Amino acid sequence: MLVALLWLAGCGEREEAVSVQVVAWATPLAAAPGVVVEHGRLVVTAVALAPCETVGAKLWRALSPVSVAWAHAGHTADPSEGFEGGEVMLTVGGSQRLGVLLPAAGRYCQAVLTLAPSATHPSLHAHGEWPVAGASTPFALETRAERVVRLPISLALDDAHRDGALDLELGAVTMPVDLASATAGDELLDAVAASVRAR
Amino acid sequence: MKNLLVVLFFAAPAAAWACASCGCGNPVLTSMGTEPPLSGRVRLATSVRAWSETEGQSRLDTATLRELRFDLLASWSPSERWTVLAALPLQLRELTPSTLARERAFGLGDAEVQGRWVFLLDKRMRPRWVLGLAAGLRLPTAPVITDASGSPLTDDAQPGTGGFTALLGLSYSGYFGERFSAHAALQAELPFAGPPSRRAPFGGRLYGAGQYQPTAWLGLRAGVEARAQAASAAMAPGLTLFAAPELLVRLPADLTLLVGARLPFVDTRAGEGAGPMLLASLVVDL
Repeated sequence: MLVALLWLAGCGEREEAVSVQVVAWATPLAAAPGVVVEHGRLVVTAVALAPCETVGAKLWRALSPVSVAWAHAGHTADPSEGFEGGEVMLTVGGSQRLGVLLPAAGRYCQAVLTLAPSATHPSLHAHGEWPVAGASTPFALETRAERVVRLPISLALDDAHRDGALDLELGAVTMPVDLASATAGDELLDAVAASVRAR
Repeated sequence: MKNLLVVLFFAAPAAAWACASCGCGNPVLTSMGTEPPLSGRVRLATSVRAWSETEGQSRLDTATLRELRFDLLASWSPSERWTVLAALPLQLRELTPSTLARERAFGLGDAEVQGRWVFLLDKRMRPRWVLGLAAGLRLPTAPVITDASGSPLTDDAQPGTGGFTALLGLSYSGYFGERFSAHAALQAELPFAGPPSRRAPFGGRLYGAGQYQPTAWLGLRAGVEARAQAASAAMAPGLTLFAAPELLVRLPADLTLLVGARLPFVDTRAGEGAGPMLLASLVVDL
């Protein structure tokens, strides 16, 4: 009887993991007069958080005669867990939800964005029309180059702060002057990557 | 009159050392399972254990398992050679992964039944040493604990293994006068059924302790416990050594209180680390 009662009394509960909402705030691409950008898309394949270095680790690194490798966070546990990749529309302003990270609790001092091609899209694509010899001419530029952007952040995840936010602000970027250039896509990707800030 | 009182005082019988809790005239304070054989002895005990363990190689993938466990134990010795023992655990478990996606489980654990056979002792009354064999079974009495949505919690958070485990053991107790005693126990755990993902590994436990009893009501015990486990689906093989200090206090009404700890000082299991365990037990002889 006692055993049956105890057996029936069994119960359990599960708490949600700490999470970080990743949101991009884009500023529509600017262009020279006469250039119309109809569509622009940036692919973010990974967002990872790098833990803050502890005082002890800093001291060890400073005092140790043995050179210490800078471990990439992704080699220990996946701090980009839960993020499945996202796209930022570069011709639309406002907020765009990129995904959710499910990292370990702790303090993070850096966000690492990887801008790279996905299975279906290049790293960056833009198309529209621009004036060539006085006539409006379609253009399309894209690149499959990869860029890694490291952003300083200050983010603490613990029991008191279970829901974090990583807001990525893409600053104002102007389209390259020569849209027919073979390197125009890479130039635009570099400019977009350089404009990203975490807020 | 004064002389008569003095004579009566010295003629009065001294308090006998014999009592149910120390057994057959032996004054040694004993915890559950280390008592000398005594036909007809019925013992009840409760024990509380709190322990923790960490898994994982780094801060980012560490999980901590904590457990508070209550055991209700009963033993009966139908003869001075045989003792049967049953233990019913109630467990509160909390698994905290690095993502703080905590899981908590409360419920019945896996019950145990054991038989102990004293196969060698030097004499029947107040034996100086006793050797016993034990065999038992851990039963899958723990239910599968689910969360509010009905999904089972992860294996590590479950209070039970879902399978049977055979227990085989060898025990030694030595009594050296009224102040000193020694206890040793070797137990093998052999899981043989149940879901492979939750099955406990083959393991063994060796415990040895010496006990000093400066007074009739206080015993000081110092020992070492070694636990070894083979590799399993979810656990790394290795050896863990604990220091095992314990204090035994005789209370009124044949009660014996034991408080102690297991303090790990060696752990060879890759990626796992045992934390300290605190334990308390109350034993009564009926």
